[in-house]
Amino acid sequence: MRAALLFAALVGASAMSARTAAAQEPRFTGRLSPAARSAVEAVLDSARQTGLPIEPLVDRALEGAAKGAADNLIVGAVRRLAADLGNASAALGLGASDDEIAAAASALRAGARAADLTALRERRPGRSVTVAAAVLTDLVALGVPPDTATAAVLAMADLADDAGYLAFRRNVERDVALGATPLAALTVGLAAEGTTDLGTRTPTRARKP
Amino acid sequence: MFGGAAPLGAQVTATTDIMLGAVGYEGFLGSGAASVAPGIRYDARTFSVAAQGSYLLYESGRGLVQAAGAAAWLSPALGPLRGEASAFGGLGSYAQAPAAGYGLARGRVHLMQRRMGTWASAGVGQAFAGADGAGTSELALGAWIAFPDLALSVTATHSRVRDSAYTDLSVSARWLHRVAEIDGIAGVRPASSIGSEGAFAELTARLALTRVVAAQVTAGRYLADPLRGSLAGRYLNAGIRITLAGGRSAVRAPDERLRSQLRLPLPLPPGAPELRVVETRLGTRALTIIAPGAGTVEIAGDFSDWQPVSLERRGGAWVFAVALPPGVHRLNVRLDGGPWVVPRGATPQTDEFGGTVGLIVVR
Repeated sequence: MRAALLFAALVGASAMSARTAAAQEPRFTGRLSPAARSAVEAVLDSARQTGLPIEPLVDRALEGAAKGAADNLIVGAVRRLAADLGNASAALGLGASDDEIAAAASALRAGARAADLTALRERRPGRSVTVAAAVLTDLVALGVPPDTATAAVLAMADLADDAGYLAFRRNVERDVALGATPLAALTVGLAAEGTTDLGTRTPTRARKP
Repeated sequence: MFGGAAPLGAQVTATTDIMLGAVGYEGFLGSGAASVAPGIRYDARTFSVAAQGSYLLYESGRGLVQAAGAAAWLSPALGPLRGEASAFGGLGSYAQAPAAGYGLARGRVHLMQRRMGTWASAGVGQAFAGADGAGTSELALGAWIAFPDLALSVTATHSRVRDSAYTDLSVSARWLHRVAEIDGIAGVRPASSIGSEGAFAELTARLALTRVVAAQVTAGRYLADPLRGSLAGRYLNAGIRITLAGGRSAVRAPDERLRSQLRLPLPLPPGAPELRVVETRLGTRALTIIAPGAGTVEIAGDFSDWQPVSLERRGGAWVFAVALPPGVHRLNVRLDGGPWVVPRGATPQTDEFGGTVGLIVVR
């Protein structure tokens, strides 16, 4: 009986070791310090267990490594992204693809609220929200206030396809490049799309220098 | 103008402008601003040199630090002709943006009479932001006439920054009394390939309160200036000028070459690398970098596991074909082994590692 228990324990330990080895991310070899790698791998393990996409986390760690960032910055960035991915997954609900979760996490980091992502999901049943969430992120990066960018993306959710979202984003970017404030560019872009309803929110002002 | 304004004896003048007011840049909301701008200049009969620094603090708490310098030498007269060689340049750093700057060397031929003259000039230089640079050039014609208290001039300037070109037509006037000065410029940019055209005007009024202190008000609207790397904007400021050394009175016009002070640097010059994303027939994306002057172009992003990838040269463009899933992608570009930058065409965003990263959206 004791021998059987010992065997079972050895098999279990061996299986666990094999799983750990399989979970090691080979792209980190030679690019992350042992300490950073260990911390990032722990985040990856947690993400795997909760069904979150791993690739964005690996990318973020590799980006930090490529830019020569300190270990604490790399680990912090990966942890924040893991938290965003978890929140994005919860907001989008069951069935969300990895691409959708990654794009929604970027939108959350840009300033969108989880409730906005849930609303976006509900207004685009059966259609991917990846590009819509990505455009939201990009609009905020262009200087559009997060609330206004979210309202604009939601206002287009019923009618616009992915190409429409990208065309809209291009128009806003062009107008900003030509000197318009991001808010004005977004309003003009929405009018061109035949959508002027930004919902009940009061658009916040574009940024000061 | 520079040589003509020099005093007979050598003189050092040091001033500091302290101003409060409002500024508005294209693409930004208006903002209150406070500035301190010390300057110094040395004028001899045929040689002048000037330098000016400035610190501008906006309502947001962000700051703009700038420094500019200019030097000019006027040749001996050859009949009514005189030559002038000058150089000027500046550096600016706004908030966390990469430092931007410019430098220009200029040659000018004057046809001078006692109280009037005409001139023609040509100049070449370089504008840059971060590691991205662009060659610049300038051709100009001008004429001036001077009265005891008043000088008037007209100027036509054609500027080129890489493939962008624009022409400015302007009239400037300077009225100088013992205790007061009014300095103004007005003009028009009829057309340009940089999306910034129309009328511009700037006015400075200065009144000496004591030998050391002058009150001054400045206001104006100016257009984008790719050569000096500044966004279009408008301003209204009031404050004082303190003359710390030299100067026969506390009023004295700043060097026209230092006009770009307190202007917001362009985030990227027109010569910065540009990214275009094209869908191929195979369903992949071709990432194309337009960088005509580059010897090598590399790209790194989430699609390459952040390993640098050398792009293949096709004419003035550099191409990398890659399969990109839908969503947001992050990337940086490097020219000739320099620092990693965000190309135009990608949305710059502060990364979490102390730099910037470019975002692109793919469907």
